[in-house]
Amino acid sequence: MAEVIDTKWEEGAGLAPSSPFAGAAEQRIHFEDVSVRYGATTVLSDFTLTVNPGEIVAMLGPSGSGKTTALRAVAGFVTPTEGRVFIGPRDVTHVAPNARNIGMVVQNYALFPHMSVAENVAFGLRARRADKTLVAARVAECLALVGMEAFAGRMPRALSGGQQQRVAIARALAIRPTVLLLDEPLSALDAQIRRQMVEEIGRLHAELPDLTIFYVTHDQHEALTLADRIAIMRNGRLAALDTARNLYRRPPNRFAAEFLGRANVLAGEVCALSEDGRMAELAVDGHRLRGANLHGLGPGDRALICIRPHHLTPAPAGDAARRLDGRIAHVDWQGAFEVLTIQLGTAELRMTATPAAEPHRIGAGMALFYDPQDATVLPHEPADG
Amino acid sequence: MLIWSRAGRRATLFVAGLLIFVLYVAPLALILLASLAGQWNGVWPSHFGLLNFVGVFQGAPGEAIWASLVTGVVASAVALISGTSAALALRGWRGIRRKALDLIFFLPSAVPSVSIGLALLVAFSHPPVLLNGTALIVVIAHFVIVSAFAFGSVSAGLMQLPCDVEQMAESLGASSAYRLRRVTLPLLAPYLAAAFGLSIALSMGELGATSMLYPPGWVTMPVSIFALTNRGDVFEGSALTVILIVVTVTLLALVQLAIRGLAGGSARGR
Ligand SMILES: Nc1ncnc2c1ncn2[C@@H]1O[C@H](COP(=O)(O)OP(=O)(O)OP(=O)(O)O)[C@@H](O)[C@H]1O
Ligand SMILES: [Mg+2]
Repeated sequence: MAEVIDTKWEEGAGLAPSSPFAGAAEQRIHFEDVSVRYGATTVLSDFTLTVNPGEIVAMLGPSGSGKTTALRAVAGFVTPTEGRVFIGPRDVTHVAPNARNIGMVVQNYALFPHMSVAENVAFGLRARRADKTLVAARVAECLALVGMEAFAGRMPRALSGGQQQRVAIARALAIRPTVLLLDEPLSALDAQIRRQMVEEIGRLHAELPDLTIFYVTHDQHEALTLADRIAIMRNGRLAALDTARNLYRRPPNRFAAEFLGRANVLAGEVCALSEDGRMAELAVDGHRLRGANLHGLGPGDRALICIRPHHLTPAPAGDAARRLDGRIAHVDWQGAFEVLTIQLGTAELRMTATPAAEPHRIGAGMALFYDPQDATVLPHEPADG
Repeated sequence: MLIWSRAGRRATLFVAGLLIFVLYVAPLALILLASLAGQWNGVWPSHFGLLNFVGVFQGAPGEAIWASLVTGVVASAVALISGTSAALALRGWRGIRRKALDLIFFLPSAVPSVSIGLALLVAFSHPPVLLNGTALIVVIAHFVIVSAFAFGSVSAGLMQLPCDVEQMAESLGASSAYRLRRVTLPLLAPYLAAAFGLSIALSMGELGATSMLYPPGWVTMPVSIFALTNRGDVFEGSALTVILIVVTVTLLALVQLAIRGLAGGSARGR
């Protein structure tokens, strides 16, 4: 496996960065108020999203939140009950899947088991009756792009999972698709191969910067690493959409905060504002916590405060005003760092820290500190529902 | 448990071996012996030679080989084509419609073949459709008997096909005809081979319906064997039985080889 992973994308007979793919505006995916219902169940409701040309949008969300459904609506295997799907300027809502010119890669690879690697990659071109020399050149080019040139003659059953997925990607790219759809492409691979594949997909996109990628995953690491923007799905709705950085730093709601990176979310009431109103102070269970007030909440409003575990640090001595006094309730050692659960009144806060030289004592007092700029104040919503 | 002890395992093997021998090997071996024998007066037959086979090939029974072959291959081929088309056309059906369909196609295998013979006889012995006394009515009877079977095996095969592979072909731009030719049918090949082979085997051994329908010039092997033994010609009957077995097994082997060749060919591209 190792020697295969180590292939060089650089030397691959790369598809020239922009030329082979359709004009940029063609490569946009646009959902317009798309709803998908099966009988009484609504799987996708009023879903609106644009994936811009050359952009990677990762779609995250719990199982059953409608991610695959959204992706298959672009591919044409799900027909929206309402709304429209566009690829570029073209309304493809009722266009057959084989007329959409889309590259698709799915979790279980779905290679044609009775065809060799080269034939798999050639399939889409042959189906289009492409010229023989073009087919041969394109197959070689795409196999090189994923580092599988040496395996052209192999049958899929004689490949490892990671190799099969590379072939599936090459097969999808060979038709020069307008957009590339990936549905949990790495979920069937083990953790180590998955990390390598994430890097390689990143490299692939660097080589094909005009390629628009819609990437469904439930792995946050994949999404944070690859995506320009992340869409978070919840019960068939778009719960959040922003750049990975913004979503992580300023989650727009409780679900996004907890789903992406498991932030601490505490409920309280706004008791004071800074002069310009940009910072708010919450009374939470007898403690006062400050954070950025991006939603313009006013005194007396019920609110949530969201603090990332790695923004909490042991308080410097002396700064009594901003320290939070709690007790260590639980320690989860993870090797390079440890996760401490701190009991703060009735609330619990998770913090990550570099492992202490002396093991922590459960029940010991612990004073915490964070920079209020790193915390976000959100409108109140119940924990679940 | 009994079979986990060495002695127990031996005893089980011995009993199973004995059963297989008594019920399966011995009768076939005796038929082979009888097919080569000229007389059978004592415990063992005697006067061995190939005279019985010569008799079969020179006489009317020889024509039975041809009749059986044509009937079996034609009925099975037509059944395979129509069964596959039907299975492909109806594969989307689910739920109650599917159950009803399965029941309809199961009926011919559940109904005794004699009844099928009788039904065809009654239906096609008056104008406007007068098939009584033709070879065609025999072929039709065999088709009825094996088509349900062909449909069933191809449907079962279709259920096994990974549906995302076909969808992938579609999203790669394949038309439905191209997808059928290059993906669905090649993946279905083993099931088609099994359906065709077993249809032929079924048809080659069919006696019930055929015996009610066969015209004078179209006597199949089983009918001929029955007639030969019925009039006491056990040795020639045995010879024809041996031929029947050899022909059937050879056909099955040829079908397997052909399908494997086809699948291999399509895997290697155009
Ligand atoms: N054909 C169908 N009929 C009825 N319900 C369906 C159908 N297809 C999907 N669903 C339902 O739609 C919901 C969303 O499914 P979808 O496959 O889009 O989820 P997902 O977000 O991709 O989940 P996962 O992370 O598990 O892949 C699920 O609750 C599923 O049961
Ligand atoms: Mg899914």
